[in-house]
Amino acid sequence: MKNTFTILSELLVSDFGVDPSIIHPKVAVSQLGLDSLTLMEFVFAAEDAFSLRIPQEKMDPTQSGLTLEAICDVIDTIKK
Amino acid sequence: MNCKVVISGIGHISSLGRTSEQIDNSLEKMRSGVIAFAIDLDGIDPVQVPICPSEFDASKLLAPSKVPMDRNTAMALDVAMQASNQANLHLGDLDLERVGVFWGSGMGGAHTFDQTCYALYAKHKRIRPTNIVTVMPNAPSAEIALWLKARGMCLTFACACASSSVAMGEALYAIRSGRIDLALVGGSESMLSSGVIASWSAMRVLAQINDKAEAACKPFDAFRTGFALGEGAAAFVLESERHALKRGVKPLALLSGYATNSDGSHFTHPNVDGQVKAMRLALEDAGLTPKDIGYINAHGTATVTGDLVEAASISKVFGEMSVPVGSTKGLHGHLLGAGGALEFSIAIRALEKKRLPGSANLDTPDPSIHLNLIPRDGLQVESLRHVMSNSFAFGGTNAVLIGSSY
Repeated sequence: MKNTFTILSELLVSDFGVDPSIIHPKVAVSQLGLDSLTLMEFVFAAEDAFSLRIPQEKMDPTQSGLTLEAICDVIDTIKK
Repeated sequence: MNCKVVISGIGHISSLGRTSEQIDNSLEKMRSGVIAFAIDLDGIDPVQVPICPSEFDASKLLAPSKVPMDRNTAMALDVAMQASNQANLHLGDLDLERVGVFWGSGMGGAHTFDQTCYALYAKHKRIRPTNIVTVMPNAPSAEIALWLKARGMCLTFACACASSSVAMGEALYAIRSGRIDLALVGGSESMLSSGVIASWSAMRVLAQINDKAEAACKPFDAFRTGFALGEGAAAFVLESERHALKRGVKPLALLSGYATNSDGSHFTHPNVDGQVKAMRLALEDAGLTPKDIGYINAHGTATVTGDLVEAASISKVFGEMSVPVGSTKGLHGHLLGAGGALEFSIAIRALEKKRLPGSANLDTPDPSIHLNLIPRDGLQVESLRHVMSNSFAFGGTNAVLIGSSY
């Protein structure tokens, strides 16, 4: 079974055209070439992919320095 | 500055095919793109209506903006890329400050908007954060401009069925005036979503399906009942002759004349005086006389009134039973805002091949129409030099384009 990071990585490549070579857990999502609007779209797509909702207070997609790893942690916490 | 403006690339998506050769073949063999669609929605009497879907997988294209694209926008981007390839555009070689985008669409992101509303109201599903920018009417021109990195004007025209013809004509003016060297122009339309189809059906302008769906749309026939709702797109690279020659590109044809005006008389009822004036102004713009035109790709929607009024207008400008006239909507349907661009591309192809497409489903020409209607088998006209394409829209906007051999 694919882990959360792998699923998010695949989503970034297939739906947002992100270069796979720059994707790693510690990268800030703002450095993936997504602007504030497309970041929101990414979080929306991630919620659909995992059939869950991320409460706004748990994560602000426009927050500077928000990493992929942090998003994975939030998703994994909600999944439990 | 009043230079010649040439066409150096064309791209299309239609129910008749993607390439010029495929479209030629469909027109030659009268292979229709029309199929029956069953409207089956609560609150509406079930009915079958004719539509013309295009084979196109929108999911294969990634938007330059990375925002999800409406099918209409994806089609626009695809045909813009096709036209740019044919024109051999190398973006690094262009002065991007002098590159513009002029696009037409009658209903913009209606497909996504209809489906979003259905999902929200009927299925209680949430709305994507990017829904507004996905459905906005200027999404196609914006995505094309982003892809090209064009920094000249980026304009969208929404004048119903005249949208793409107006977009092309206004680009012609911008290039002639010297404001830009090159423009990516055209139109796209994709609204084959149940709510939109039902809206058109409610207006009672869609053809009745009596036997086969492909025989439903009968422009200029005595038994015409309306059109088939189509979808698709067509794009052109337009540039000044000087710019094309400097790039070493062989022009396909000239966009030699254009006019647009308003009937100023009725919201939906066409008007002979307005149409006559538009055709005469376009001829004047091209420096031509009626006898110079060898083919008219008529607006020819196959509505009872529309065809009658257009026939009277053409007869007034060109004389009765004179210039060969045909409507290709019987095969590819009515692409609304994209119709003008697709039909002008068919007219330009006729110019290249000296071959006028035949009149599909014209079994009993309307005796009150005194046009030289092209027979079903088409016509070979070796002397063809200039062609006209008419677009007459709801809202009273008329647009006429003239293409000429280069």
